[in-house]
Amino acid sequence: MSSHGISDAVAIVGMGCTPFGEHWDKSVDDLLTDAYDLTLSSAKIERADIDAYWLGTMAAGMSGLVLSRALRLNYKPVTRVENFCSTGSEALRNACYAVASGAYDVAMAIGVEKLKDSGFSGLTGTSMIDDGTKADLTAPALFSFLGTSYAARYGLDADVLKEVLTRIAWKNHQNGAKNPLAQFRKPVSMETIRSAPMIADPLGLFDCSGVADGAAAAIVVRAEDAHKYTDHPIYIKALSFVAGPATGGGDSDYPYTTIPEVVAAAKDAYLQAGVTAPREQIAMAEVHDCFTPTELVLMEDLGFAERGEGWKDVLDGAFDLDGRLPVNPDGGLKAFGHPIGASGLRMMYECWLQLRGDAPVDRRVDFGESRLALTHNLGGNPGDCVSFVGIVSDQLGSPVL
Amino acid sequence: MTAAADGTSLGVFADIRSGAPGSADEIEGGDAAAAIVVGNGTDDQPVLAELLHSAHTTIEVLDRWRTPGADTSRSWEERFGESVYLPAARGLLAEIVGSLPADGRRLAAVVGTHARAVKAVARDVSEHAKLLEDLAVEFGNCGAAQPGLALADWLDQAQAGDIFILVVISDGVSAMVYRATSAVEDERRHRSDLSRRQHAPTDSVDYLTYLSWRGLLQSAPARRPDPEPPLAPPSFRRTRWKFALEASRCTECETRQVPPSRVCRSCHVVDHMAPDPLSGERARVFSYTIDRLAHTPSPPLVGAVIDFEGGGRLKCEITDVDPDLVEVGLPVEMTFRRLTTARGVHNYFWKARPVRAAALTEGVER
Repeated sequence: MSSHGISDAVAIVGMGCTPFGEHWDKSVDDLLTDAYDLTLSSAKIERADIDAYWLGTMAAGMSGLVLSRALRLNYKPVTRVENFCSTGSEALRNACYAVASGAYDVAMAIGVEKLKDSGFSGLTGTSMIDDGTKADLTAPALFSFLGTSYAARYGLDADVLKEVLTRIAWKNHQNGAKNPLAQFRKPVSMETIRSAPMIADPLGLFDCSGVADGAAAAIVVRAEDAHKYTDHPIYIKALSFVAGPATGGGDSDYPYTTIPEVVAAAKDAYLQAGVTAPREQIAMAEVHDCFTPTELVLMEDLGFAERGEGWKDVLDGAFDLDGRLPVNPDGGLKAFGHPIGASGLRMMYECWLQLRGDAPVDRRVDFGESRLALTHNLGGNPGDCVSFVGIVSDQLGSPVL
Repeated sequence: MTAAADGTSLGVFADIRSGAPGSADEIEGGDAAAAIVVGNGTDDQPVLAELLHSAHTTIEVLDRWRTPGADTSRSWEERFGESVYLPAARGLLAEIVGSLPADGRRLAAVVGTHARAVKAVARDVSEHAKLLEDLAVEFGNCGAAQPGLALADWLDQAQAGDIFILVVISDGVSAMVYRATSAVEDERRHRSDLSRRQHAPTDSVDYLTYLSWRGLLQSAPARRPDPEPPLAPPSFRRTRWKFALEASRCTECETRQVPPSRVCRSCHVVDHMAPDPLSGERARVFSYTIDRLAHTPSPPLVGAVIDFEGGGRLKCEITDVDPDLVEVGLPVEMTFRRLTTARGVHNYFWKARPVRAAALTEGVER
């Protein structure tokens, strides 16, 4: 009773990603046009070759017209999708299925968000107005519960928890500093992170990801056609997506030390890709580090660390660029920035660069024995969320060499 | 207070004393409420005190006034008011003193918003009865709530046969004489006294917070989009949840659903639900944070995940609390409060607050 998956059925043959950040000089149309241009020029492909489009955006506009208007597309199918912070990955997932089904030869998934124009630093307008009974907690507050509960459950005192969270932010800023497309391109010292103003205890300013403008896109074709468009395609091994029952906020059994939606999505993805030991078989991962405790919990939920032990691995540098399993080598949401609809595709863009050997030398991942890269999104908040896990490789067939 | 007809009536005395920043009203004012039941008594609810005598006079005098909509009242110079109230009070006292029973302890209280007149009249009354401690010293001048508080204070210490003189000064003078019945001492065993009802957290409210709560100071809003008012139709559809904090319980598997849901989160049956009220149930803090960006009348917002004793969980704000004292496991109780005000709509829902000390030692129901 799981998804069958479409492992090795489709390939990504072109990708592009704009710089993420405060693009005061660019509109949604500009960002879409930039990502579209970058993506077309990355493959031997022309505008007329693209049969269908999937546009991911949470709030940049309604309907496929957001894309067709910007690109002046002539009478092509454009589907707009939205699934909170998994939106970009959802655009890709649906484009992949469309190609795998045989309905189209070439599809583009493109994601965009323009968050900075609102004038607010955090995310805005993500919940429907209703009877006014939902506590109006901010996103950092909702994710801070993961840190507090994790520490309580595994006996970390406040100082140790802060060190663990600081280590995660520090690592992602280190990586982001090596990424010319990232929103924040300066390393940040542990002391700066540790002593930053509190946003939602125990989360300080540097425990929160950057809110950014940006766009990213991918071109998807059938695996057997891939080499027509590029010499170095990457192949889809797994695409998994789940929506949870949203009961964590009302169910006293939910421990806030795990995100069951992630566990379920990962299980399905590993099954699709034939991964049996993720800790050893995944070579790199781009995960949804919206807040530092999220990344901590994700290490355990994705099977990269034992339950209750992830914090030690973090402190040991297991997920550093030169660690056992590099996590967010591009800086993650933390340093690359988080334009919602683009983020899932941005993660895939990093896998694309790394697997093809195109990543800058100073942040190139050592793949070792495996050629598998993973992307992960979480949308909503702990207890009330959706989750995506994708796995890609530059190799067809068995994932582990 | 004298309006006992044939039936039983409930009298409520309540006041929020506002004053312009820096004024005597602001410094000396107090907020309070008291309620009494007036009637002929029943076996379950016997008469505690009978009204023996009362006298009233109304005076049209520009002593204290407030135009509708104004935040605070204003008052005339004090000595003039005293010159009006004192003779009026003396007249009523003369009338009453003559009719006082010869036996029984005599106790008295004089209350009113005109401090100088109250003090002068109290001096006169003290010649006929022992004055109770001035509640204004501890609680502040609680305006319209004062007569109720004074009665409650007397009932807290009354012995059978006590005589109590209560004088109220405000746009006139009222004088009442009560006698405690034999039921008064027994009844006292079943309730907490006034001193234990004081609302402790008021001690920790700083002045800027106070001004902001009173609407006298507009502080910078959170740097987030303005809160939206709740919508009328969904609020109406979910009246039992929003206003009564009524969850539901699955009649098949007994799982509590917070908020109420048609589909059971555990066994997934549809429409097998019974109402399950949470408002009187205690809970414990499972996880918490101090949200420094969220909208709340009481920043910073202390946000928490609380688990109810009978199962189920709620994400909500904790109010009346020092953020430094919140911890995992803290016992809390529910209280109906204002979440936000947007476009002229007060959005009320439930918040948690630390279980109050008095309520810990005895049932809050009584």
